[in-house]
Amino acid sequence: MTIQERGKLVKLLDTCPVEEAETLHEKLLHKPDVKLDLSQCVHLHSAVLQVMLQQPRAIKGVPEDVFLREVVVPRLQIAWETAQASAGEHE
Amino acid sequence: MDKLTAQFIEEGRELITQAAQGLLKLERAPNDSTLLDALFREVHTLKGSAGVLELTPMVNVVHVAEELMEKAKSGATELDADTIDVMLDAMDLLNGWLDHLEDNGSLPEEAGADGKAMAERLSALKAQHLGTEQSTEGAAQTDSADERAEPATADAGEGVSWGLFDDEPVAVASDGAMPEWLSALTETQRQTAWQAAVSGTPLWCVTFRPEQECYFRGDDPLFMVRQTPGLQAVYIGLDSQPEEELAELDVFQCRLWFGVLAKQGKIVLEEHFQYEQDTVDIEPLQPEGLIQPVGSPLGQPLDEALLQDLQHHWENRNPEAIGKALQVQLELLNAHTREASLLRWLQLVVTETPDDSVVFDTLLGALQAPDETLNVAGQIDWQALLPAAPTSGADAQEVQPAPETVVSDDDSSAEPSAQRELEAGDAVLQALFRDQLRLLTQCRDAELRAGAVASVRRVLNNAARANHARLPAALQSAEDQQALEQALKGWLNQAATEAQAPPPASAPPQPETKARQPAEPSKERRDSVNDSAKPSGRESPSPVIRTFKVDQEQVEELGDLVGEMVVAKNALPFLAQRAEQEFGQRQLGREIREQFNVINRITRALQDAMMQVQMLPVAHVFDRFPRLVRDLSRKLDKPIDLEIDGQDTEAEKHVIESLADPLVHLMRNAIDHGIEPRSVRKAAGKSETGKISLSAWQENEWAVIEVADDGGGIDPEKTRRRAYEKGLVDERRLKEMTDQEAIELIFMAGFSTMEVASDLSGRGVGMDVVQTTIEKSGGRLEVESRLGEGSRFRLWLPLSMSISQVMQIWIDGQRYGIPMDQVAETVRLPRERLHQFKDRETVMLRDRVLPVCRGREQLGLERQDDGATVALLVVRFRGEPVALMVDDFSEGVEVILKPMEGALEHLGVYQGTALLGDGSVLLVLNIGVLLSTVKLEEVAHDHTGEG
Repeated sequence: MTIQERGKLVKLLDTCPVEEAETLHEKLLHKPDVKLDLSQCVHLHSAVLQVMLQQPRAIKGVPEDVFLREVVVPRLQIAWETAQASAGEHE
Repeated sequence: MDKLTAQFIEEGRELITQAAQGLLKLERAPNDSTLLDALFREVHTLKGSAGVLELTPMVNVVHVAEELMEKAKSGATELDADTIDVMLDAMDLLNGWLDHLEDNGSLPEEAGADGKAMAERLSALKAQHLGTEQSTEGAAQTDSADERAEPATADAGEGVSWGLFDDEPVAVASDGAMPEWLSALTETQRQTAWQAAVSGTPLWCVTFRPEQECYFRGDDPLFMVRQTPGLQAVYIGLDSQPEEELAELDVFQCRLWFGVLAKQGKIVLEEHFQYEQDTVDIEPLQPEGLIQPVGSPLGQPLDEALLQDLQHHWENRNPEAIGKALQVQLELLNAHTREASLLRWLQLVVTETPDDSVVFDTLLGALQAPDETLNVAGQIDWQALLPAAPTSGADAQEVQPAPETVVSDDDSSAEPSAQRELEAGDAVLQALFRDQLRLLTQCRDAELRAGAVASVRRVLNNAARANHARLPAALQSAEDQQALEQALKGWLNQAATEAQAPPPASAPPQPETKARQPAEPSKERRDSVNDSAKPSGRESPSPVIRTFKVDQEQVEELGDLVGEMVVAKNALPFLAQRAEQEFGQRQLGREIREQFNVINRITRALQDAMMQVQMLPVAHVFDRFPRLVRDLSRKLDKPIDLEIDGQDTEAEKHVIESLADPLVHLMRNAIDHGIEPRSVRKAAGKSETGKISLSAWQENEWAVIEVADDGGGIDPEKTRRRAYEKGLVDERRLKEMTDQEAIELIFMAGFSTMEVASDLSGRGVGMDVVQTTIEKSGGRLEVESRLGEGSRFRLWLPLSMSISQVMQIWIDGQRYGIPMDQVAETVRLPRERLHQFKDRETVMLRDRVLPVCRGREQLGLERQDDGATVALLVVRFRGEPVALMVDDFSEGVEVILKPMEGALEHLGVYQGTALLGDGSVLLVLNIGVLLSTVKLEEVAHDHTGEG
């Protein structure tokens, strides 16, 4: 289990395998207001990333892994900001 | 160790060995372009592979070596003996590193320093070779746009490009459209990438759209992307349909796609994405594509005075003033506006590429009249602004250095004039030249004209060089813009007429024809890397693997199993015998024998096949000698010609391995003691250059290796005296001795003819050790020598060592084996046929007197009275027949000979043991050792036999 839920925080730990995509998908589907914490994540499978891009959430924590920190997290942040902006337009 | 490293070590060794051999051959034929090409390719491949593994010290060393070879290849210089010395040293250094890498998983700690020192040695040589050329080149470069490409060719450090040079985006006639994701990268990412690209490192764009089902196959595209070699920037895209309900999304359908900017050669990238060929698109980056503004428009025009200032400073080539003006304006502007973004790019362009007026003008234009310069998306359409071929135009010259500017830095040096003229029929060239013409006609501004002419000249020269041709005279001599324009027009017209004459003269300039020149070598390289030895391996859907590498331990295990099978089958005759004798089942016994014959036939075939698999050409051992001879001959100042013959002769791996040390010793002896010093040779009327021939051939079940020299030969008088002085022989024996026997004294333990042991051959290991080593492997050593004419050593080794035929004999109720190949014949004779001659027992057999020796005595057993008939086994001992008296003979049998181990190892009289079909152990005698003690004892004790 590399995806853990602590209150309003969903933590991704170590290397998140492809199976976790479904778990995360379900979690995010039912909890629109959680934040994602990638600080202890080392790598995540494409499918997991895809879920996070499809349902963007605010990102917490800075991962130690360079690739995650410099490529994945900024991309997730953009997705989150874009989603916020479009949500603002709709309202 | 990971697989990649393991593979690299293996391949690296091969490449280094090949390169070292190539260097040696090159020394004899310095202008052999095929050799040079092969050598260059080997070194190049090595560099590429080392680069992938980020073995920077290795890359640095190889890089300089490669540059040297490049120079030699282009005919700029010749690799002389001193250069080859250093290059060989470099190969040795690399080999040492590979060993370390294999043992410890990393390069040695001092690799950085050693590598640097080696790179410097090579660089010094390079400078020496080029001498004046380099200085003129330096001068030519100061005013050329080429300066920034220079760091990429620096001898050491991070500037080294690890990719293949020849796969760089040179003659790519692509449509120029850049992947759309480029503009989605952040401004910082794009700026960093652009800086890298214009500083001489070509970048490649990889667009990777994984298949939807890829997650089911266990793929993780993100992981693949993060592992991309030379990763510079990544864009992650998501395909989505907005109307889709989140809850109904299939999370295991891949919707991601990736845009990757990589600072790595195309070959390496293709290799990385080799299983994704259909979903990956790799194209060269046109750096301008990165220059795009972001942010929303300011909504009002910028201060006109500022823009005029910028234009003014630009024309006066005053980048500092531009920088200051931009800085001031940027401080005033909201950083998120499109104008601020454009100004930031201007800042960068002015500092990085101060000669690139196309980019500068375009950016300025975007500030002055955004609606005219920017498209609806607010982007600059570089495709329309820049000529189609990336190499055209002044800007392209800088940002995408043609391969020549990276590979060799003497590109202003003249082309070899002997080459053919550039052919007008080539479609790619036509497109390229047309673009040059367009550029020239566009440049009416006096400021730009000079730069444009220089740039076009450079492109033309590079094009000619890439095609290994020279420019037509008109183009070559055209000085100013007009002349160049005319010449280009003329060339293009000529091309048009040529194209019309033969109907399908040339292919239309399609992207498919791209990079024809580079494509060839790169494919070759890939084949050599994969070693799959299939010429069209990449294209065919399911490549047939014809050769593959197997760990030698696995082969040996298989060989052992085959051997055990051979022994196991030998149990069947015993079984048949028991069936008949103990159980009285004659019929069953016969059937078992029939079955045995079938199994016997199959195991024989199996054995043969197994042996074939384990056969290696003696070249494996021979290949080291050209180097050895060369080094020693230089060291001793004895010029020597080495002739190698029959290196394709095959023998089993173990035999080849056991051959190596004795042969090195023999070769060293031949060079050190055999070949005389120059002066002596001259005085003797011989050619000053000594000759050593090393040859191999197969003779029946033997592999024969011969080392012959035309040196001084062995003086039998000298050896006699020496042996006597050393107390190895007594006076009487000395007198009886034939010259041949005297020469063979060199094989005796404790014998060395040289007064002073040199550091070459006199390492305390004498010829006796050589002989013992060879005899231990079941072989023999012969010598022939004529004083003043030379010596000839002949090494006889069994082709195969794993399964041997032995003859069984009985001595004192114990069964022993004797290798069949040493048995000449077996005879039973009446006892009276033995004669006592002085202190020796002899027997007359077919008009020949053979010495007789008694097996019992040799084994230290008690003597027994002979019966009425005696059983004699005639064996060959050092080429001479000797009659060995045994109690009885028994049939021959095939066994796997296992060497004695542990405490028994020193019992030289036994060659080994073997397991017999009935489970008993057979001791196999070593005839050489068994009989050698005999002769010595004969001399020592003057015993009288019975008469």
